[in-house]
Amino acid sequence: MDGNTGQALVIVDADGNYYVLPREVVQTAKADPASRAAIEQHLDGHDPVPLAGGYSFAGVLRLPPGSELAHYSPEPCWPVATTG
Amino acid sequence: MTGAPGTTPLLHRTAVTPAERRDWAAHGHVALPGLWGPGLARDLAAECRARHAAAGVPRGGPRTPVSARRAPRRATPAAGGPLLARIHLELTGPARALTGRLLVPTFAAYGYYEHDDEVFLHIDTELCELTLLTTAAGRVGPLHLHPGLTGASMAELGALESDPAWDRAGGTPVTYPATGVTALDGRRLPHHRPGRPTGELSAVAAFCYRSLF
Repeated sequence: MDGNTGQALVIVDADGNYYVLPREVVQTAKADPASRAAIEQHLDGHDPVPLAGGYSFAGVLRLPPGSELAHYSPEPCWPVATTG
Repeated sequence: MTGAPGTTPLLHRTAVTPAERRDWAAHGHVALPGLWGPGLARDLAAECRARHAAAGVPRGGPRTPVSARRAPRRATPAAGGPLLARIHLELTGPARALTGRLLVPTFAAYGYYEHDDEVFLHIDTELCELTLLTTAAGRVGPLHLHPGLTGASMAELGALESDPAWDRAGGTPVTYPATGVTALDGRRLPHHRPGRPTGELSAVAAFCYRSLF
């Protein structure tokens, strides 16, 4: 999706249904480069499959149970004003 | 991620409409009404009131530096609760569908407005890439958003709060749906609530999420 030549990435499922991912959605989903190793650790390991526009299909993310609570805290936070 | 296995889902809907996604992308806030029914709203209000006794001024959260003259009488106490936590987890799906990001829950809290519903101008912390807000109890006035102040630091926002000439009625007012949430990009959009007497114990429930990667 370089320049103005591509508006969306399109993937297709086994039934032929298309999933159109607009450029803006793809850009929004860009991961922090610092997370690269953590992501690769959870991909079902195969070589990236070239798509188009410089993108490749890297795999399906499979997270272990509990990983979605990696940043969870039962301690509440709330805005507060401070002085000094 | 829709609650513990074997439990009945609390939410009436987890899908987000294309119009809601468009509004979110365009404005950084959108109302998501009809996520739950009146029964859950009543249960949430009951838990919120019951947890008030356990509420305290939290150690974490945005800190707006203001002048001594502008200091509030008392900070807003906050508490969590098991129903709040369950809803928090179930809202993860809509949160991801809305933003297109692999968000995970960070914290949820009831914030109690015991005398007035004032909130000082601030942006949210890194724990809140997305904040979902609803009125949990009583009546709470609209939150005022300030897209024109995007990029301002907390020190700059605190200086505005401390300035008697700053228009506290300004900004874009947004309300919360009765059986749903208002989604807010509060990390980017500065926001405040001007404050008015609540007349009764009133509370907001906040559900926060950040990207896993």
